Amino acid sequence: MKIGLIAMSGIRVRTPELAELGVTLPQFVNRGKVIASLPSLGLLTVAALTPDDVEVVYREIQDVNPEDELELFDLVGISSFSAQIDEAYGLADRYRAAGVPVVLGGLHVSLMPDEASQHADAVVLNGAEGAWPSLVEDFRRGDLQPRYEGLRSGVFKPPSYVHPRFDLLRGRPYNRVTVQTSRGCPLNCEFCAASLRITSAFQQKPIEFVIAEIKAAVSVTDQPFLELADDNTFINKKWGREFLRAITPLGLNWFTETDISVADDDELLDLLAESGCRQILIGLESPSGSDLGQVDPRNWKQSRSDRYLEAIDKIQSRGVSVNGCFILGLDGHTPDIFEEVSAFVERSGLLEVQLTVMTPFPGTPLYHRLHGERRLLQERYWDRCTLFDVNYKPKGMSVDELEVGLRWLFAQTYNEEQFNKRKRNYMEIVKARL
Amino acid sequence: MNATTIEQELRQALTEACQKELVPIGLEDDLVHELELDSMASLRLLAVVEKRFDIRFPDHLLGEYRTLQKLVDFISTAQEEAL
Repeated sequence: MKIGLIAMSGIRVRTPELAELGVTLPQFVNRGKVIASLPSLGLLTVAALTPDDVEVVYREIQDVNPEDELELFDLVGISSFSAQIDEAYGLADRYRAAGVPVVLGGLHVSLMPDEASQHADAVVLNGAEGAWPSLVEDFRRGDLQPRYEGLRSGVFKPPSYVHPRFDLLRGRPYNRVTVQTSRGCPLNCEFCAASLRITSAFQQKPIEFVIAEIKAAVSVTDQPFLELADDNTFINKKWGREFLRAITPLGLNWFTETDISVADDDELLDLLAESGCRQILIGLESPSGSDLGQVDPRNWKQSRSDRYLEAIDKIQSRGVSVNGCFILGLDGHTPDIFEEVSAFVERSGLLEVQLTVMTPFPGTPLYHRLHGERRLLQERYWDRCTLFDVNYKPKGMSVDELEVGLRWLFAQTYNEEQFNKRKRNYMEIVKARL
Repeated sequence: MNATTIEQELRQALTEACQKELVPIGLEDDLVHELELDSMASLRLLAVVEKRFDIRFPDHLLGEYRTLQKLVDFISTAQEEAL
């Protein structure tokens, strides 16, 4: 038996004006390109959960030319984000028309299973752990069920835990490889469409598993840069310190996402710098606490916002750059927000900045709230879930004001002069540490 | 400091900074490509050179200094101007 696993994780800007800005301001789409070029850890985990007597073929969507004949398998598994889900459904429909059964999975499918079921013989909800092995056995017996639910807890404990099949990446041109150390995030932000939606609670992998995975992942590429595919790596500071001591001897350069509380722990920050961590991405969301009410249920980000500048400085002064992420169009935002963010970015010395528009990803609490308030511009807009396209009526401004403000802010932030200032700031920090 | 001495010191500084032997890299080879540097690693390397030779690259030209030859030329000129 041969199973084909196809990853579809591209993100692109739909609005023509923003696409044009992306052409002239390369940093604007940089992060999106990085995300699109990362391998699918979910499918590598699916591959590892597949019995040894089954041949597994891993493909990425750029390998699948729509003009070519389909590469045929006995069974196909497709995983995709919301922005590319319609293309995933189209590919699934082609396979099914060719007589190949299709299984769909991933975050979008987990949140919209009824929709996905219209294009699949089976859907897998949550992670594949706890679902895929029985799916394969059912398929062998000719008894594939329409829906399988993976585990929402205990996924990193044997026997559910498996080591992803990084060997399937060998020979592919990755400049970054990914490893997941945790699933979920206790902050539970309303807009978040990441792994917390498929977990019942924050789950962290034992450090020995993480290190073994990292060694396997970096062995498939000559010049590995490691990206941890986490939503919030350093929630648990004790785990974080132990992890950093364990990763340091590997001599890697790496990147991860976490929250601003990482700056609370000086020892952890020192270990972070020594470990080869080059950048951490932090969701600051908005420079002012007054705009951050209700972003997360405990108003944690609001309570932290007055220390953003101090925290960024503490982290960057150790040579670890911060990629500060802002969400424009929060309910507390008025048209003044664009100048406020621009001023904050300049004052903060952030080396990298990620500007996105609030996006009601289907199935999230934000989606349900805005749907209930009749603020969604269309019923179905999944291809516009790019983080750059406006899909709802903002509260404190018009759609037009948000779109115009975004373009202004992109131009202010992603121009050569500002980028050079950020680069110079980083170099001076590095020099001070030499 | 003549160009040869600058090149030797530069190779030593860069070898220490990126923990890789630079001997096989030619003067005109693209360091970013040869050493497979990401954007931050490139900046760190330039920072090391600035500190070692007490110079400052123009901010708007940071992306231009990608070969040993260009670095040697800039350092030579900067040192001559400082005399």
